[in-house]
Amino acid sequence: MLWQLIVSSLTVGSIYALTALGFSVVFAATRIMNIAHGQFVMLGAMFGVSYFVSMRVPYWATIVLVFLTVGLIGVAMERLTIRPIQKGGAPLLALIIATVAVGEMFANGAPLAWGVTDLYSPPPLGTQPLVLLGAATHTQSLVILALTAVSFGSLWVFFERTVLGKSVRAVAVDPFAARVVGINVELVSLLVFGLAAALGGVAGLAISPITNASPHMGLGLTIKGVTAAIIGGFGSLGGALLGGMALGFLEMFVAGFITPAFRDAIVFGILLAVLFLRPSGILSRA
Amino acid sequence: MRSWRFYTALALVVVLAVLATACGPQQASGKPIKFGHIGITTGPVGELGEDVRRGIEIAVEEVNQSGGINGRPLEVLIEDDGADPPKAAVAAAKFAADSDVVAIIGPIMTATYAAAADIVEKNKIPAVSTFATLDSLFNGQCKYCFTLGGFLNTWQVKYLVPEVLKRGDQIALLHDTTAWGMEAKDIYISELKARGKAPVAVIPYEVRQPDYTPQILIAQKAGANVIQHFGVGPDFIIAARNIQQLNYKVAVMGNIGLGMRATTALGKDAVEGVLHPDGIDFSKPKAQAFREKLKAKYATDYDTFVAVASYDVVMLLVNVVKKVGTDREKVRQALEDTQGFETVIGRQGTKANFSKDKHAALTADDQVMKIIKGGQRVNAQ
Repeated sequence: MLWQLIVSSLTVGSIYALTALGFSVVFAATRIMNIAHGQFVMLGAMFGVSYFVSMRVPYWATIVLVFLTVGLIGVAMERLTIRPIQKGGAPLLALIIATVAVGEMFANGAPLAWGVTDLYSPPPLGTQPLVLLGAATHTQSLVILALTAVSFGSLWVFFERTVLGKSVRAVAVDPFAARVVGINVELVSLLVFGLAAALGGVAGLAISPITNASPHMGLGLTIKGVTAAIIGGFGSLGGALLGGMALGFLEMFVAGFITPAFRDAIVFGILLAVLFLRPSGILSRA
Repeated sequence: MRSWRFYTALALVVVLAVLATACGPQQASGKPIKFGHIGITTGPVGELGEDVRRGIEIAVEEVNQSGGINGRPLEVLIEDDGADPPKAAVAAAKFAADSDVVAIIGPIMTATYAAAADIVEKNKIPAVSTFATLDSLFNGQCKYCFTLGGFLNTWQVKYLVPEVLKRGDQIALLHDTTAWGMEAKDIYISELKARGKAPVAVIPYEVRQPDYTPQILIAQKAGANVIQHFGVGPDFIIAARNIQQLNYKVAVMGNIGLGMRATTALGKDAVEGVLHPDGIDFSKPKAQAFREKLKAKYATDYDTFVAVASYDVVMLLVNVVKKVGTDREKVRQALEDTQGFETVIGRQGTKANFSKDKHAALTADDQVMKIIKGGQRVNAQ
């Protein structure tokens, strides 16, 4: 049972970590908590079904198309809502509320585009379970784990090893100073929103064979993603990964070994205790 | 000058037109009689709401094409509660305040109905639900609360327990943590106790989670050879995938909540062989005819009772209003006095019966056991 729960927790933890990633990336560069991010994950799942099932696009091409489509929606969101409100001198709270509004628009608009019913998202590697040292898992878990490794790995390289990535970090530290040294702060904000949305979309595509593609999945993922990001340390890549895994493992282990009855109460109680000890999150530098 | 032939032909045309009008379907006219429907057009169970609405649309069309209610057309106003209890209460208050609304169809779900029940009772407007099943709502204490398609938890359990015991004696009870799921769990345990038995595991779960592996492992560890599930389709699918993934060979019995289209549409091979009670028997000609009608109008083949329940609710209310008029109190009394109203829902010969302390029309014997085979629900042996 222990090994089985570890294997299952890795999948659930990865789902939460991938969602937390988008929150952290946007926050790291702009200090905005983008509450609409869970809806990008939802849009990725829904567009994924449209491309892969309805239009019969090959899976690899579906990944690219979902990345581009949802990334463009993220860019459009930044350009059409965040930027004008920012230019008007609105406080940070107003920007966060704006992301809530955009998220609601996506949540309400998706059923108009795809209908109210959840959609079946076929796993590209089939439904036959995989057995790893006696523990069974869904083939899609491999896709999710691989995506988690690629997303976190490539973002780490981007932020640590590229000039553009370092520009993003500079904007996060001090936008004024970044502007003085010639960094285009607006472009960085646009890039970050687009990148986070694109990665969120691909995460939605990857998790949909397990959760189904549902126009209503965004809110639940937002709650789990924000929780994971806060626990790990908002704005930190490692924090998003650690927070997601911590949440996933706690949920599964509390349900499996203590009781499924008060799972959320126990899990969130533990997480609250973590915040008492590390108010800015486990990996926060604060 | 026109000939006598012209005038004869003209007279003939006029006579034929009058005859055609008289012999054709009677058109309803005048001020419409209004029912209010508290439905679901948004939210996670929007599919259920869509199916309920389709049943209502077909009923309204039929009623109006056959002359309406005592010559007046029927109109159904719709409010969306998004399966959210506070919104259902607001919608009920809105309909209650509209003196033209004779009665409410809905709210659909148990939780939303429970939230609206107080409003319904205080404002004295009859509300007939399609699926609300909480026993305590429909024992007559709430005078204005009725359910037609909702099989109370008591009736479901009375039907399910003997069926489950045919398939295994080590029962794991897997239930969601909604009020409905919790009540079902308590009644189920009592029913087993009355038969000198107890479940080997009682396993709650929270709705809309990505994985229920811990819950399934608990059942497996307890040695369950049959899992009894109380919840709705979308959550069950995740649990069924976990059962399949763990290669756990166990009989799985659902409750009536698996009657959603999503169960088979999304569950695919993970739900093959799953049993669950349903509220319709398609070997009944009336039921099959209704299925064909739905298929023709919406290009969807319904193998469950979901869209049928709302059709029956409309027809029941129409029947009552035809008899007693639009006074809400008289409608309530007539609903309570209803005996032997023939429904499409249920088995061959099922009839809706209410009484002073029984505001749920159907009972345990009106259910039909279904098994999922080849992605379709068929009657189980």
